[in-house]
Amino acid sequence: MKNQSKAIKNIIASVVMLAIAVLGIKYMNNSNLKYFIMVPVIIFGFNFLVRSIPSFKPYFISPLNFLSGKTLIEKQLDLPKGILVEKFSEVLSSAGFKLIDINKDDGTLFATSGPTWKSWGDNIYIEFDDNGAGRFYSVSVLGVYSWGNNDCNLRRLANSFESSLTI
Amino acid sequence: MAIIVNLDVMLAKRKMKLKDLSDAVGISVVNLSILKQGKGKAMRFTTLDAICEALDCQPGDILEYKKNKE
Repeated sequence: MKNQSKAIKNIIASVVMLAIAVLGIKYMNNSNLKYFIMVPVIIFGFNFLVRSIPSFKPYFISPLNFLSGKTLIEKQLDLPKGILVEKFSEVLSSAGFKLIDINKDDGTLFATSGPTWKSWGDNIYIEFDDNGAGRFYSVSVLGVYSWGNNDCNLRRLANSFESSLTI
Repeated sequence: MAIIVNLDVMLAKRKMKLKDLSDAVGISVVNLSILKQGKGKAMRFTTLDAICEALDCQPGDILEYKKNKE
């Protein structure tokens, strides 16, 4: 059921983007305005297509990518990198995120969140260094502003981690 | 923290590995590692019960209170 609604939302988003693109080209007389509107639509479409590809992480977390709203939290967790990566793979799943990629050697994890009424879905990137310091990114793939959704994602992750420490 | 977890001491006494304990008590190695390093926030009675049973010991063998030095 959840996957169905996600698929329907994704189809609607694709249709809306395509409609804006087609109508924009057809009806706009001012060519400068046309391109001004078309550029974000094309970028959002591109973001939508590549959002689940782990190698696009630098693109999504780059501060230069101002069309994707992002939030970064840094936290010192004082645990070995290997344990943290395994722990957060459990925590991400229990917090309702879909784990896409995990790299124990690099200490990185990549997960996505499903669509909500505030967002079409966000990307969660986590990286740990050898000293147990963690960097947690939440990126709105299709939005300049996340409407608090990025903070909500990171808070959900932190709460899930805290509760998982009761063993 | 003033509570010290002596899980590694008991494992060494019983000549057991963390993986064996994990299999015996049904708790992941990651969670037992966190517990062993004293990074856990709390410990359930059910967990303590399972560990004591697997290691054939008392809760006091695993948990120890030490006053923090000022």
